[in-house]
Amino acid sequence: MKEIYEFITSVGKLKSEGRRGWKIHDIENPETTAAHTFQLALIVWTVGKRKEDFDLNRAIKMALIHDICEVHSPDLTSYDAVGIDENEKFTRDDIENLKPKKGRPTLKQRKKMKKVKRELESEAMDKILADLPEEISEDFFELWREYEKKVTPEAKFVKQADDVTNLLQGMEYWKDGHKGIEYRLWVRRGKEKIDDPDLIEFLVMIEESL
Amino acid sequence: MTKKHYLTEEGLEKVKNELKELIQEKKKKTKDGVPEVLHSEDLNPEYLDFRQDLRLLERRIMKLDEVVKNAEIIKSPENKRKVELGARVIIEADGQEDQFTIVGSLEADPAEGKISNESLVGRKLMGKKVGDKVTVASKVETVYEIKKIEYQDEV
Repeated sequence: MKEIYEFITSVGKLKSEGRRGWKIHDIENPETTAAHTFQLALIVWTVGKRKEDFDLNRAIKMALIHDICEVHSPDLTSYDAVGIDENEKFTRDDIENLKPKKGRPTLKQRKKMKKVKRELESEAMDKILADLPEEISEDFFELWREYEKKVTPEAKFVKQADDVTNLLQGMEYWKDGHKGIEYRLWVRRGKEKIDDPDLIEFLVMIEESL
Repeated sequence: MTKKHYLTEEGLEKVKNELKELIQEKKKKTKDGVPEVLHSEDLNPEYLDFRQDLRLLERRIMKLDEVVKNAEIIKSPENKRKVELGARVIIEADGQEDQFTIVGSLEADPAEGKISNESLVGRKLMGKKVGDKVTVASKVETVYEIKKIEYQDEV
């Protein structure tokens, strides 16, 4: 039980740390990773309920653990990617000096960021799960790996629901007066990324609320 | 009717590798046989966990197997002036240039610039040619101007 206790208290840190993307937008008391996860899990549960031949329990579990690596890895955003010099080599050592910039990262910047982010998150996941009983850590790692690979319908759905959850929160901040959020770009990006028919419907609802 | 899964050769390879890994995983899980507790399945958590794990694994194997069996490799179309699956499209939207490769849903990875032909933007771009302006309209309207269309065998 000691290992489980330590894991739970460790992950509990995600209840108090504001998400980096909102801090970049100077939002006071920003949404935490835990709050984001809560809303994502509910979106996955309620919207996912419409799907046939779909393992809803697996998808909800995937949503719950998708960001736990952030206990040990930086919460890197697309704004950090915009800060990457696309003509220079980019490694994990450059993260510390990375200056986030608003806007949309280029394909090269996105690829460079994805590679380093995956490396850091994989190590963080190993670290956070290291002391848990094997039957739990294997289960978590497998779910997380599936989520990252996005090959199964459940993983693809959770990944897109994650994007929709971020869009929803961003648009709520925008409606609250945080006009620094580039809402046109965000909505546009959503329309490029999301292809799940139920989540497209949800995306349209968000857009109509603006 | 069985659904066709449109994939690039690279995408199909990725699915095949994932399938291979899952089959290995299943072998690993069952190599020592079913746990000893098989005959006392009443409320035995070890057995129930094992059975559930195996069921999930088999389900995922079946799904990927179905994808491999019904995969159709995306080939460059005869008319390369139009956006079809596999096209790399350079666009301009809101004054910024960007590029997408249009792929089937399974292979979509926006971080890698691969967008699905079933997304709102992907759907609109399909069948269009250089110079066309595509409007993705709803409350937030965006106009995408197609600047260039390329296919893998031309690059």
